[in-house]
Amino acid sequence: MSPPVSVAKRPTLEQIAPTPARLSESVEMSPSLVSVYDPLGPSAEAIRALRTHIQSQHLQEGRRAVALCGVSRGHGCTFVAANLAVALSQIGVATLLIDANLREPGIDKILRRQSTLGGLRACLMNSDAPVSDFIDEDVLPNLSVLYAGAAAQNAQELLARDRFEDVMNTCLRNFDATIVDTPPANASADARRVSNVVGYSLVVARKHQSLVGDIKTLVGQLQGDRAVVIGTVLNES
Amino acid sequence: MISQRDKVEKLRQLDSEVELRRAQYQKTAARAGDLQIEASVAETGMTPLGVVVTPNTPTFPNKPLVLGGSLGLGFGFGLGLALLIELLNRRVRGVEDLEGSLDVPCLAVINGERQSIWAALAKPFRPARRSKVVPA
Repeated sequence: MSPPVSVAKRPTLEQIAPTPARLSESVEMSPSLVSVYDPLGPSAEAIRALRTHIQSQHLQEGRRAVALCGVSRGHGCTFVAANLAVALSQIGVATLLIDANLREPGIDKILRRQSTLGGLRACLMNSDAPVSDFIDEDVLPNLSVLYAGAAAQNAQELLARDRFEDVMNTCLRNFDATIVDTPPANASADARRVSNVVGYSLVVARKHQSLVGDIKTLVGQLQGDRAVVIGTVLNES
Repeated sequence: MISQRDKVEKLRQLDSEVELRRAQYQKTAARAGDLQIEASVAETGMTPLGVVVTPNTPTFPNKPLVLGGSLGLGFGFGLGLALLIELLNRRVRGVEDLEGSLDVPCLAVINGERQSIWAALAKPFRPARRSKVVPA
């Protein structure tokens, strides 16, 4: 029988994931941001494993952006995107988290700071304004966020503009890693457009909910749009 | 001889009466024998239909049979339907489903909490965890 593990010897929360953002009173975070709230939990461990893979197989190869796609609403795409961005920022990677879900923005429900920035929607509608004016910088250390802003009725048209490609190019130049959250693929083609511009995709599937056929269809569509699907993430939570 | 003629006559009468009685007896005995033989024959061509007493429990419906049969048929039908739905709409049950059907690797498996198998089985019956935005 193995001896009981001493609680005192376990690494503390601050040792694993320093959270100076907790000192900031203006930042609101959801408990689902496990990289901050539960860094010792299995979900945070899985996020760190994903971060390690992204860092070694993706960032070091010069691929600086990835779009996270899910088939249906509630499969955890936003959850994985936010936690992956936070996890990357925790190791000193200058990370930008973009909420490209202009249908039903979700990043601001997980990580939010009171700001008057218009977000991605306003950024796409104002072609002349610099992109940096819409990015909420240093929400957490090394983590900037480009929120979606208000929901847009013409999301597909906004994302189809050349302005979106300019925005992505600017972000790729200014940040070490750019994580893009996309709307569910079964509701719109926004995820395909975003993946096409970003170039790399990560598909999130939820256990017992996602259909294998839907995942295959989504991967086929993304690859057909010349996006590289670097892998999948199985969300069991 | 003449003096005993009366007696002889009486003897003849008695003999004839004895003969008559014997004949009647034999006839009656033969008839009794025939009737006894008829009475001893059990095969009358009739079959007993059952106990004359009426049973206290109803013979229909057979509740145990109906209940057991219904449960068995319902279980079998539900199992078959579930298998059919699962085969037609296959869902992601594990990493094998993702890696087996796609040519891309599964990079991470995010499991929410360490739990026992009983807690995992009881999970579908528990209310979903609320996601609430709280101040940092």
